[in-house]
Amino acid sequence: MQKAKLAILLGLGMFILAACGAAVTQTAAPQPTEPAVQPASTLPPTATMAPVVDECLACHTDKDKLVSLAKPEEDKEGESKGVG
Amino acid sequence: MAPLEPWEKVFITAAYSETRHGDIQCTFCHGGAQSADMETAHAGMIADPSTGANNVCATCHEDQSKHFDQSMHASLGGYWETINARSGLETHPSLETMFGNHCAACHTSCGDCHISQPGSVGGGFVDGHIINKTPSMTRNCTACHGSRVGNEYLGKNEDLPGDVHFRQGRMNCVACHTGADMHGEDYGDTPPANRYDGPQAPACTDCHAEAIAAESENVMHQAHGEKLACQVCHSITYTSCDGCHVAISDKTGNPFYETEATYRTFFIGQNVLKNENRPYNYVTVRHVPISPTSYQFYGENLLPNFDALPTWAYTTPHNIQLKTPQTSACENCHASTDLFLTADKVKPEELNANATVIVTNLPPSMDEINNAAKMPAGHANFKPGMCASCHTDLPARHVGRIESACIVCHRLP
Repeated sequence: MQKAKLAILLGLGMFILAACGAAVTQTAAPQPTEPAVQPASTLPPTATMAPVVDECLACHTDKDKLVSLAKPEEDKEGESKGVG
Repeated sequence: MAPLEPWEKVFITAAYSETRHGDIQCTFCHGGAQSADMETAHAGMIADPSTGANNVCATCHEDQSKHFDQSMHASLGGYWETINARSGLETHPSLETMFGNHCAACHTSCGDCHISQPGSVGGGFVDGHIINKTPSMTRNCTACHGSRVGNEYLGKNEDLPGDVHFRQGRMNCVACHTGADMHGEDYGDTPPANRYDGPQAPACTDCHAEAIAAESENVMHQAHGEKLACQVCHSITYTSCDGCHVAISDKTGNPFYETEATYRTFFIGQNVLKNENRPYNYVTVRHVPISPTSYQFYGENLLPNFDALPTWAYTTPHNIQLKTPQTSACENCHASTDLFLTADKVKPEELNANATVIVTNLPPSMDEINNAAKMPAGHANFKPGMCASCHTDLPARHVGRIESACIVCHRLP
């Protein structure tokens, strides 16, 4: 009896597998399509993030360095007289 | 305001890196190059990338930048309006050179208000390159608008109190002069020609709506209505200037100016800019520092139409007070010539230029007002301004008086 049940289950399993295989072969092969065209970005250009070591900041946050590099400025309003 | 040391002008604080803008690489805005060598790093660098057509701020702040080029701060349009009116086509090239040398430096960029002190006071970061949404009142606004507006508002003129909005309200400039106004966000396609063109922005009634004559419970506001600008009653002595002359120094090659005189005045004149936005008959006026020879360094007779505009100009002093000499007694205006710009107070050579401003017919005295004949009760339904249709033979003392004001003296019973 058990052998008969086993044979039935085995047969059923083979039938299902065969059915699945048939379904796969029936699926249409995908057709080649044009690659999707991405719309041009309307967003503003992304600001570049500061690097880990920013040479600009390294100097401009160094007070002693700036003091040593600073040049005296001329007074451009020096000759003006009266209320501006 | 003490100038910054040269190093201090470009010193970036550590706190800047903690801000949102601190996440952006310096070279994104300023160009130049990432290099430890100063010459290499600064090659091609843009010191103020917020000015001109390639304003980098506009990349993200589109609303604030859209009309900024048309704003007074960017265009200095008001200057050109007055220069054009007084000059002629043939003198224009010389005046353009003059303007470039002496006036254009007052042009303002985003950075001049939000990052640095203006170039006209030497520049330099206000707060270590931190980009402040609200400009500093003293290091940005009054750095340029200091000699008159700043001193008046902050009470720096000897013996004169500061503006009540500062003394009691502790209001800074942007409390009235909003960012949208400064950026020209509401201009649309028609920027104003000068700061008194278009709707008042700000207007006193933006906050003091109850002061509008028809709605006011204040009898003085009812009586004077829109005939007087608010400042006529609520401002005090302010600054006038004479004879600004500009030149280039022989010694240094730098531009400089020299004003002949600066003095305090308070005068009420006729409103030459009268329109629906400024319907007043009388406004406060100040002497502006123009003279026929202001630009003579650049050529002779560069202002051939000098008389086209008054030298006593519409002004809105920034020293508003609830109580002023004008409000202390009716007779201060209704029996006295002291507060009015009459011909005797104008230089003879400027009488023609100021003909439309000079007050020729003073307000009636209080006796005249109180003793004037009453208007017949049957006139109650007549509209203001109709009187002269029938009363054509007015006394000489009435000539020049405002027709709509008859009822001020000739009251209904």
